[in-house]
Amino acid sequence: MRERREGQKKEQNLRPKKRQKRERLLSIAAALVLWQILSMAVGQKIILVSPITAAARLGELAREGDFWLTVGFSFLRIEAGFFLGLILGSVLAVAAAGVPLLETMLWPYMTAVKSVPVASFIILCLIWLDRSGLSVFISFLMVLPIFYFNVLSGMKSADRKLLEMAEVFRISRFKRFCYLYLPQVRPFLFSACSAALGISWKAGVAAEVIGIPDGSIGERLYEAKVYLDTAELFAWTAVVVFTSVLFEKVFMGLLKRAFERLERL
Amino acid sequence: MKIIVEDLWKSYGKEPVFQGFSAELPLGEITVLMGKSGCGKTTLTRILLGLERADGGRVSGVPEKKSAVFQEDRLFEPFGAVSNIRAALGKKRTDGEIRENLEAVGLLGEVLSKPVSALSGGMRRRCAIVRAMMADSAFVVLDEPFEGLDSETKKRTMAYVRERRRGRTLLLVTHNLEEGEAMGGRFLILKEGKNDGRED
Repeated sequence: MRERREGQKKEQNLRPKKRQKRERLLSIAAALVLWQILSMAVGQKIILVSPITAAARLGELAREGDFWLTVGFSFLRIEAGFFLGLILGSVLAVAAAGVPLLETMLWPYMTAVKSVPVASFIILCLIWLDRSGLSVFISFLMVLPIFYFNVLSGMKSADRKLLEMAEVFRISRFKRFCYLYLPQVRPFLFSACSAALGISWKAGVAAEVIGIPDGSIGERLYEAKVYLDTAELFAWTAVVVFTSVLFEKVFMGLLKRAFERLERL
Repeated sequence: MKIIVEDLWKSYGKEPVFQGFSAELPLGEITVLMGKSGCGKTTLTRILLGLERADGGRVSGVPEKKSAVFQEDRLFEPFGAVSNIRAALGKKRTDGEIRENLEAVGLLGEVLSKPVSALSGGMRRRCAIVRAMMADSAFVVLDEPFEGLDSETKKRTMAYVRERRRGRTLLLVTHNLEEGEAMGGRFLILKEGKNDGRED
């Protein structure tokens, strides 16, 4: 009886998720139909290709030998920038939460990085850096303040009563971090990751389009613009979207599992 | 050897809690702190635990190693009972010992695999009590520890506390005279409004 009730409860929990998935798929299908109708209405491939043409071009590209190398080139650099931002932003936030002077000292840098247009940084980096490392640095710069401010907010939201308890029991700093701060930071870190993953791809690819490093997705997008190859533009854009969404799913799943494992310790 | 509170002054804004209050808590014994709500019981425990500073006066003889059950359970919500207790203990205590202690207050089986956020109020309370009693401390403060426990569980938990005190100084804050009597020890009664002069 109890098992049955639990089963029903589980089913009830799954239902909205399944329905949400179905609704999302339907909305994607509707968007594709709308895109098809619009492209037929415009009637000019150079302005708006149909989704079928873009998909066909994507299929052709996927069969090319250097397609996966191009995807790999941009993926590795953009995600390297993301991870650097995640690590440095989180470490700085943890340090700033414990040392108010550091927080004050870091404030102008983080605020500047957050507010300066990405194009300004790209142009500056073209002067300072090698083109191939451009997307690493730009995606790093764009996600750094996201992680810094989110993790800092999480650290500051730590329960004062729990901190008092930890003080009385003389709980070590490491244990305080694992048991007290990490669970508090978790929702902040998750929302930062979700936002930063999308932004790292947007900024990274934008940097590649301006800097045109050899063998990057940005270079292919730039070429599509030069040759007015709208089908290729849409195909590469789809690649960016797929890769970004897929990586986000995998990464967020792993992060969630890591936290769950920690909580079972 | 005693914990000595001398000429203690403390107020919150214009609201005085202690005005020259003095008291002594013999080390190695149980002291039952009683008084009406708002008379300063929790404030006194917070000062003794070093969590709050008095406006004036002197507190001496408080052992360095302390543990406490606060009015709230103050547990690490996503973690299980064993993890919560392990977090507050040194490396010398094993998970087996922690489980034994939890079992002594009636917490066993499936309950231990759940995060404490999923446990009932009484279970969480007992988890906080076990944490305080297992901790390596010489001074244990229990602020209304048995609130919310049914009579059977309360008896069992009180027996556990008495047994595991093992000569440590224990300050029990309670509204319940029977609880205080059952625990033994001397009573310290705080007055309502202001506490001026020596303990009653």
